[in-house]
Formats: sequence, structure tokens, C-alpha cells
Amino acid sequence: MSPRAITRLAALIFALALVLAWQILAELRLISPIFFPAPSRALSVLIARIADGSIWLSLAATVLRMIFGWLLACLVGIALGAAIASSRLARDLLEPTLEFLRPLPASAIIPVAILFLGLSNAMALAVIAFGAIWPVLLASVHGFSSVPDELRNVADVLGFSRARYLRIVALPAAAPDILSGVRVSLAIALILTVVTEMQASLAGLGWEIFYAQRVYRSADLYAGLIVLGAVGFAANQLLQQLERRALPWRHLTP
Amino acid sequence: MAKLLARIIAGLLLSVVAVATATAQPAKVTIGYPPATDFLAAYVAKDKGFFEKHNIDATLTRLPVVTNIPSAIVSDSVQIGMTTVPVLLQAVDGGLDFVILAGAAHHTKASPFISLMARKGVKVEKPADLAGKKVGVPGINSVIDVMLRKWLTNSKVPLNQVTVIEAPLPQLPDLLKVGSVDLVAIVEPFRSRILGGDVGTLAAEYFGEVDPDVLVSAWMATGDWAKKNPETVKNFRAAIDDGLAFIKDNPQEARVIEKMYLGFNSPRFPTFENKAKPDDLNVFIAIGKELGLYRTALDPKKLVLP
Repeated sequence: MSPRAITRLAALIFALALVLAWQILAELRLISPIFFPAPSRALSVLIARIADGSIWLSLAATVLRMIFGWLLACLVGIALGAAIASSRLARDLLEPTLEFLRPLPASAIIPVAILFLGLSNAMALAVIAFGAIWPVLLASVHGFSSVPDELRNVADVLGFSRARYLRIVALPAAAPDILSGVRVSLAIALILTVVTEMQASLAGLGWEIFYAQRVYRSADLYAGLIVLGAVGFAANQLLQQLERRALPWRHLTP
Repeated sequence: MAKLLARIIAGLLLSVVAVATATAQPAKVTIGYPPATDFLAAYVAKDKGFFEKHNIDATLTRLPVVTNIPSAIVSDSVQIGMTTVPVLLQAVDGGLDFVILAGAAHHTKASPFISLMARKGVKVEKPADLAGKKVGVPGINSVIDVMLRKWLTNSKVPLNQVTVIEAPLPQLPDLLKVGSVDLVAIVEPFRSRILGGDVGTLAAEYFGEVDPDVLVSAWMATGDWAKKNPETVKNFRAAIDDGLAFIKDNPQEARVIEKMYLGFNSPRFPTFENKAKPDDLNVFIAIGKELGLYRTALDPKKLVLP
């Protein structure tokens, strides 16, 4: 067995051990099962929801909201990052405002977003994009600023326009940093998707978790959390695969 | 021998004093309430010393979100908490052990204080007009929400055509004003503020249309706590009775106390009701069954402490 396969197996065993510990603790009833159901109960609810098909609409709504908000954050973040990295004027003009906005918790702007955009998908997308943009933006600024001098000189010598330079030289050079930021941004997008669904009563997994808490259906609540965890895991795995294909040279061993 | 006898007598006397002291110690009870006039009897009982008179050292704790109160009771942050009947039924259906100790208020058709208000310009003449609209409620599955859904169901309006949105009670008038929702199901004094502030109009007295007289709010505790503290339960009820009697005889002073605890005065008092009966729960058990809210069979006799 290869070392990688062994590591993966060990990780799986560790996760299963945690689930087993959860089951044992729940069976011991040290905490009321109303608040701490066994994983077997949560999984039963999940299996029932998959069997009757009721999970798919909520899952689709949450995933789509997350993706659109995240894509918006990535597009704006990369564009702004390129602008700030390549223009002293842009940096001087934008940086103070961005530094003011960056520490604002995205959930704190939800009331403002509701006033402007109502309890709508537009509000949710705006909040998700606001919160998810920062890792991409900062990574993009760093990536575009760190283009090796040799590559800049080659672009100068070849007479590249700014747009061509960004597309052919800077963006590929900055891609490793940008992709790292994009992965962090995706996790934030998922968190904010759930929060906005809870706040604005938008159909989705976040709303279902909120509702389950309201009516003391803890197994349903934990089932929702399991699905959210699976979504985050799957999204991260997809991005890792994308990174491997887009940046194959990063994974070559000498 | 005499010394031994003296020691025994001294020991017995000390025990008697200890017991007497323990009995005289007031019971420490934290009471959780949301800011509503329904619980004026408790504010009066605290302010006028009725709790102390009945040997309760009461601390009133404001808990703005009604659906958090069961958790607060289970965690022993409070021992007695306010509830509405649907919240109690959901908690019991979820496996929690609660009983109603005393009533707080009824909603009557003759004297409504919960109504459906529409934003100015939104036309609602019948329940079917709510299709495609957004309605703000102060709590999903709250008594306000449950009765609204029953009202829509009675008129054969499909529930999936009406979007119900939860928001904190004080925010609902603002959401109505800015157009985030088309209607709000709301309680006094916000109801009157919407009318008085020219923000909206009365769309329907839906609560009274579903049931002309219903127990809306009550006091509850865990069944286990109530069993272990029968004297305290009896004293709590007596203090609430005294509070209600005071409100009846001194309405103006009661309003001053209301303003002190809530920061506002309701245009009128609700119909206070300090007794709760198992029959009071039947209407909500039936509605809950119809709307598919509960998974277990709920016996109202077990949910109201005799």
C-alpha cells in the first residue's frame, strides 16, 4: 500500500472513531438525547430524506446560492487584486477603504443588506460575496505583486500591453496564490449561505437547520449539519482536483 | 444521664430550628419573560412584593425570543418561563418535559390584540389575497404563525403560496415600512403603532376568526421541577392571583409598572387569565395535527398541572 493510501485510510479510521465515540456518548445519555442525539438517529433521518427526495431541493438551493455568491466574490476579488497590484494609484485610493471594510463581520451587514435588498436571494448573494471576497482579494494582491522580475522583463521586452501581460504572464504566475485564496473563500461562502438562509427564511439547508432547532428535532438538525459538512468536503475536494489540473507543475516531484 | 438527656434535647432543638429556618427561607426562583403585557401580573407581583409575601425570592429575567425559553428552563437558567401553547407542545413533542403552571392571557374576538396588518397599498380583502405575498411573523411556529396558517388552511389557501418570514417583533413594523414584507402578523403595541404611524392598514382579525377565545400565553416549568417544588408552585400561583387582583383594582398604577418593565404601554390590557385547563390546549393540538407539526400523541391532561 502506498504511503498516500495509508494516510487516507488512517484519516478514515480516525473519522470513524470519532463517530463511534459520539454514538457511545449518546448511548450513555450524559447529555439529553433531545440535544445530543446519536449519529445513528441523525443518519436515519438523512437516509429517510434521501429516500423520499425531500433533501434535494434544499441541497440544490444552498449549493447554488453558495456557488453564485462565491463566483461573484472571486470575479470581483481577482479583478480588484490585479488592479491594486498593478497600479500605485489604485492601491493608494482603494486600500484605506478596503482595510476599513475588511474587518467588518459579514453577518453584521445583514441588517443593512436587508434594508437595501429585502429578504431575497439578492441580499444573500451580496452578503456571501462581501464575506467571501477577502481571502481571494488578499491572495490576488499578493500573487500579482509577486510576479518574478524575470517574467516582467520578458513581457516588457516583448512589448506586451497591460491586458496581455495580465492574461499571459501575471495571472498564471499569481494562480497558486489565487487558488489558495479561492479555497478559503469557498468555506466562507458556505458559512454565509447558511447564515443568510436562517436570517431571511430562504429555502435551503440553513433554513431547515434553523427550523429543526425551533421545533426541538435534534436528529433533523444534526442530519442537516452532516449534509453541510459533506458539501464543504466535496467542494474542497473538487477545488483541489481543479488546482491539480490547472497547475500541474506544482505537484511535480523533482 | 442528665448530661446525655440535655445533649439529646439540645440536638432536637437545633434540628427544629434548622427545619424552621429552612422552611422560612424564601424559594429562589428565576422567572423568564418576553416583553409583553400578558405577564403584567408577574411584574406587579414583583414590584408590589406579592412574591415575597408568598415566600418566593423572585428574579424576573427578560428573554426576548420566546422559542429560547424552553432551553433556558431546561438549562436551569430560569425555573419558570413564559410560553405560548404551540411552543410548549413543540417542546413536549420533541421530548422535553414541561407542564403549564398557570395561565397568563387569552385572546378574544371581542378584544383582539393580535392582527394581520398590510402595508399601505397592499390590498387584502380575503385570505386568498395572501397568495404570492410575504408575511412577517415574530416566530416560526409561534402561536401567531400557527393561527395564521390555520386561518389560511380554513380558507383553502395553499400554504406554499404564502412566504412566512421570521423577524424579531420590534423589527416587523420597519420591515413592513421598507417593503421587505407585504404583511405582518403582529401583537400590541406594534399593531397600534403601525396603524397610528400610517405604515399599514388592518387586513384581518384572523386570530379571532380561527377561534373566538383561546389561551395564548401561560407560565410553565419542567414537570420534574414542579413535582419537587409543589409549595413554590402553589405560592407562585397565589402571587400571580394577587397581581391580577391588583391590576383589576389599580389599573393606572398597573400601567406605570407596565411602562417600567416594558418601556411602553399597550393601548389596552389583554384578557388576563391565571387559570389554565387541559381543554385550553385542545384547539392547538388539533391545529398542530392538521398542519403536521407534531409527531407524537399529546395528552393535554399531562401538560397542565392540576
